Amino acid sequence: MGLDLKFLKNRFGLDLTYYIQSTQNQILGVEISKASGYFESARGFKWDVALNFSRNRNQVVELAEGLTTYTLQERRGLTSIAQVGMPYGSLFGIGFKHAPDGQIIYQNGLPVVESTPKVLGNIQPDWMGGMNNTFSYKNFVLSALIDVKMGGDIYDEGTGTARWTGQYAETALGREEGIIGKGVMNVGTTENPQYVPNDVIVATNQLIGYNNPRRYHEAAIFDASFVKLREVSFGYNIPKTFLRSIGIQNAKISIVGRNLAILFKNTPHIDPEVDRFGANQQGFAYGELPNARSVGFNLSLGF
Amino acid sequence: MKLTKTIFSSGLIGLLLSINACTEKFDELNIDPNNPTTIGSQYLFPYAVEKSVDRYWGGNTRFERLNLDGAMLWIQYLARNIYSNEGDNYGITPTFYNNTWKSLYNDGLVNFQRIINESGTTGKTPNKNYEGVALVMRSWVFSLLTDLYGSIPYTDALKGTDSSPVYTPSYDSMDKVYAGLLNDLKIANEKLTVGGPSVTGDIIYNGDILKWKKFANSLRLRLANRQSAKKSAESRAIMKEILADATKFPIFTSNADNALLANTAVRPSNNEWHEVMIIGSRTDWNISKTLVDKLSALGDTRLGVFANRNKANTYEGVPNGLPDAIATTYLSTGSVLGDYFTRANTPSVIMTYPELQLILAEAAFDGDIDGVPSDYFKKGVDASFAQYSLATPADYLKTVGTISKEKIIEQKWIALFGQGVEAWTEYRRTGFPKFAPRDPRAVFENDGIVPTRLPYPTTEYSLNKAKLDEGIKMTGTDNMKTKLWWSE
Repeated sequence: MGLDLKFLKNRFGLDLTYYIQSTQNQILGVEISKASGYFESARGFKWDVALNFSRNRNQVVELAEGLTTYTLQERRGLTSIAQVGMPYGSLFGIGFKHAPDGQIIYQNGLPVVESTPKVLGNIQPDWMGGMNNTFSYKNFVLSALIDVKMGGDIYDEGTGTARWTGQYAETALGREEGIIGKGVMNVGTTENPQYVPNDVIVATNQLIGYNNPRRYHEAAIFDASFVKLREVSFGYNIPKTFLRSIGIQNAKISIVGRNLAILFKNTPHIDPEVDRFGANQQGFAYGELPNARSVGFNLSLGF
Repeated sequence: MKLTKTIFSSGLIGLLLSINACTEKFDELNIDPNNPTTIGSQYLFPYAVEKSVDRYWGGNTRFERLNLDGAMLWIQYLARNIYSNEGDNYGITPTFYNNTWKSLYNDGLVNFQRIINESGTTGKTPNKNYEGVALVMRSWVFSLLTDLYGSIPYTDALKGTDSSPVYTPSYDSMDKVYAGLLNDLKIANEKLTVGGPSVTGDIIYNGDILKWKKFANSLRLRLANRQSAKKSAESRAIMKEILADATKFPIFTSNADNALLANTAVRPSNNEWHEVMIIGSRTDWNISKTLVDKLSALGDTRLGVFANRNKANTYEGVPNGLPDAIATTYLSTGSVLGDYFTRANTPSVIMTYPELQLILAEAAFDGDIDGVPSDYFKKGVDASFAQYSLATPADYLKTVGTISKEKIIEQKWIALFGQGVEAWTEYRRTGFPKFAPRDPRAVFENDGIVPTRLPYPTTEYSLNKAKLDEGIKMTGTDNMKTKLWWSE
């Protein structure tokens, strides 16, 4: 179902797509997307704004006869699975015990590990979007593109391993005097738990050992949300009067920068926009290079 | 015009033909005529044997070395001088228990089952000796699995490619698995026929069917003895049946009968410990203080085979479970694994004559079989020394002292050196050997309890949850503290 509207002499446009898609005989995501954009112009100054937004919601309905779970990928015993009745790409592995308010439960100063595996996250983002602003004034054009991905988890062995082995600065905290893990401990009984903030000091290397992604998958699962300044370009249209004498219709020179800044992210160390395996195996990272920043010049000529 | 017509009709015929080809011969089209689509038993068998035995004896993948990072440490043959939190402190990774399960089922059992199907009376290439040897190996691998995890898929297992496939196999309780295996081994002994069809690709006995029969019956005695406290009458009947007729039920009679995987100097068929410690240059292991102390106290010359002397020309053992900061101080002084065990062609041991004699010593001691316990005991001890070309020291048995259940299992523990999983299983069953109090500096996980079993794979939780839940009901809580069925 699609809708394409334009108002006020095309100054405002809206393009909407909504579809429910049932994908059969394969394992693929279902897509629902929307896009909108608008622009304004006054006295040689023009401002174009293009917004887009997409949001996916899906559920695995059925697998081959006799199967209820399809394993998309496995690393260190953590699997990304497509299980009937659940969204595609659930991360399934070993995690910690949590109090009803979500905080990690500690015992003797160390996190309590669940002996049985559970769903720890999902690779799919809550929504994705982008905004492109283009400002034009006389012969100058400035545009900036911002990309957004909100939600979606990633199992990043790199961060977990570097923490576990004490390579990040934060693991030096309390190196001599010990450290108190952030979470709660049960001072009540097993039947009637009473949770208070954990206050037991343990050796730092003991506590940071709980970041080992090979054993405690949850410690290496991060929210891979990001807001990025994807592209900025600044250009100048060379006046036609000047060009005509050398037989060129139009020419534009511009400087373009890509991946200029990560404006927001929840991963402490890495660029969350990385992926080790891609395709159906996405959601895993281990020491990937961040997306490269590039700055270049563009010269476009029209004859 | 005529030409056009001809072209048109041939085109039409062509189209019809192509439709036919696509719809009716689709399956045939997908069969590669140039490459084999099935593999003969002579190729499947060595692959499955090597994969299973390497997993049990090594393995060589860090974080999933069943023997080197698990059993050999837990039973205090070896200790870690670094990374003690990779097994020596009873902490293991999910890949340890996931991939042990996966490899024993997928690389080992599936292929042994294929051989059984192919060489059975209704198979493509009937051969009762192939069927027999595959059945023995299948039983051995199943026994490993149930001793490691508890209830496991057994009756329902290995049916993923059957005409009515089972993708989510049910679990059988340990006593049912044991009953099944004891019966399977009896059938294997019946199938195995000396002078019958030949078996190639046999990297254990080189096609010697009599030795396979001996292994089948000896393994059956091992399993019968293991369950004898739980199923006394059944076990006694089995032992009696075997021992009453040495012609029908031959058993190991010397070290020449030992079930060994013949390793070679050529990778990947080399000894797993050679792979890890020589090829991989890992120096993370020392001999455990427990073993050095025990063997030194007994004046046991086998220590010289199990361990190398350190620079000070003595044997220094390392306590188990030391945190890295302390453990690493032993790196330059601790005795390392003996040269014999890190050679490329040192065989991986599956079961030996000395072990069998000590099994019989225990059975006689418990009154399960006739015979003098100390006779079996002496034979077992002597044979264990002989296995390493040593003579039992003159006053050795006097030093060991009066025979008891503890002494029998303690000697078995020494004789089983290298076979960490079996020694650990016997420890879990009997509580012997009794370990000295722990080093006060040691730090353990699992509430300090020597692991009693491996947790079920996370993949069983995601792929076979309903059946697993039934299995857990039979095994008990899924952790490393639940005692298994044969615990005495």
